[in-house]
Amino acid sequence: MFDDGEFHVVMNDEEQYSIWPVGRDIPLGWRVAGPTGPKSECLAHIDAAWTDMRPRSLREEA
Amino acid sequence: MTPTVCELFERQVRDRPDAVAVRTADRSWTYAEFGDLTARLAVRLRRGGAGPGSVVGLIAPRGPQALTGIVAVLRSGAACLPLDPADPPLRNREILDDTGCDQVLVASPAEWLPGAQLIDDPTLADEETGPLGAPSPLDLAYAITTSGSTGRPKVVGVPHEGIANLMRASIEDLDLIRPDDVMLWTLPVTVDSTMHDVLMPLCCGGCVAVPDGGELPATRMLHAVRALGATALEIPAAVLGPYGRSLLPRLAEAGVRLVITGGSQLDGPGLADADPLVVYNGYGPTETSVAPLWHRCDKSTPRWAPIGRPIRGTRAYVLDEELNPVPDGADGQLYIAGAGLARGYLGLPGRTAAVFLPDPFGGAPGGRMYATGDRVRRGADGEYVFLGRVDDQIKISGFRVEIGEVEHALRECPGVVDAAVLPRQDAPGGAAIVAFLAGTPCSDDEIAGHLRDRLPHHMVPRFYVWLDRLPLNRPGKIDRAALATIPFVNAPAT
Repeated sequence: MFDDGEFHVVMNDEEQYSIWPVGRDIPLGWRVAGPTGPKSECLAHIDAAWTDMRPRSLREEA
Repeated sequence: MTPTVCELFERQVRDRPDAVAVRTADRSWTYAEFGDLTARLAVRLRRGGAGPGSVVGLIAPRGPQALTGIVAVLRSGAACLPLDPADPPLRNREILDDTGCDQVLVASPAEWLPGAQLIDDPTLADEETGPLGAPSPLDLAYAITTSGSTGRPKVVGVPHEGIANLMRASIEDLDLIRPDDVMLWTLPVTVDSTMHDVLMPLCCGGCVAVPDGGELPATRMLHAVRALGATALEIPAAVLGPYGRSLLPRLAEAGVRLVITGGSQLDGPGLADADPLVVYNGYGPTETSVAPLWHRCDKSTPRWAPIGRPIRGTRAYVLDEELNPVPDGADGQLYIAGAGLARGYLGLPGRTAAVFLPDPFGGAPGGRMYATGDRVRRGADGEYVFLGRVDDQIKISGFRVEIGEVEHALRECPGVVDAAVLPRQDAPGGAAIVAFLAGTPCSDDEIAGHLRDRLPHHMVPRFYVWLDRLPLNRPGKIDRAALATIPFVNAPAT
């Protein structure tokens, strides 16, 4: 994927994080969930915020 | 819902207790026996705190103990993290700590692991049977270390739903395993294909044949097939490509019906010439549950074999750099979506998010797709063809060089059995493409002459180094790191 440009931090209903390029429609089932900026900044935010990588439905089952 | 491997195995234990589940040269275990053995060890692990959500280390060489360990960890509900006993203890210790492994199974006592559980601990005979783990489809089944390009290894966590989907496709769609099959376990414990190769028979009532320890070169493979009555086995593509034509007929004669291959690009002649033996080429990064694409080789399969098409429950997209789909026949990066996706890299959320992206193309809302880093093309027949790594394209004097294309052209030269191509900065006269070759040596001019008919001038290697055999690394891929240090003594001056 293109490394330059701006990205959104995004999250799905399972509370899994990812990134998505600014200016493109965010795919169905995902929402903005953090800062917008260069890829490295988005990934650093995710490193700090995504502390439990289990999908939400599994966490709730447990 | 697709049953987990634990449920499938337990069904076999109930339905065919007297069938042989595991076999070595010395003895065999029926499903009843192997079910009992693994249940006792699983109960011991559970008493130590293992269960869904936890990770248990397994440090054992390929052998019946390692197989017992894998199945016991899965039945405890925990995820199995196989590590190589030959790796430095410091590295293994770091991985165990990073993944939060409180318990470790070992085949033999290790000084650096004082609390480890011995797999063949005699006191396990007194262990009372009890309830097992019953993991959910989203719980991790196994975790596999992959060597990162820099720094620490990454550990890929794969959920039960991923491997369960592959099992179902292997049994019901691809005919990769049958209840009367004897599958020879050929790969190291630490590669994810091992999970496929050994769990597949145990999920359908077949038998896992475990050869004696140590390396398993082609010659010993044939011996093991005969000794253990194997009908199916996996051979790395780096071996099957160059040596399949001579090896496959002998395997067929010994009773083998199926050879599974993968791990690198399959490139070689005679893959469909050992009828009724069938070769299946599997493709997939560890991040997508072993192999979500499969190609069945037949008479029309070219030497540069396709990687096939996606199995049930999975989707494959070819996208450009802007994440737009490219038309059939055009190059792009391969993205995989669907049931096989890993949870991600354990303890590395940022690196996970960088390659597991939102999937805008289909499936349920909120789905992800994994960026494989592989360049492919989809043909009009729906079959995908591997072209190379996205970051594998090198430039020499400003021109782009396709490594895979050069290697393929070399393998088609008379006398060449196997070939690997590397850019070497330390070549006499400056950076150059260097060809490492195995086969019957001939002059550089002769080879270069053949290549000039097939390749653009800038892609023809400047140096040719002949070796007895190309070096392979432990997972059975060409060891490019080793090739990068081979001296130029054989290379003539230009």
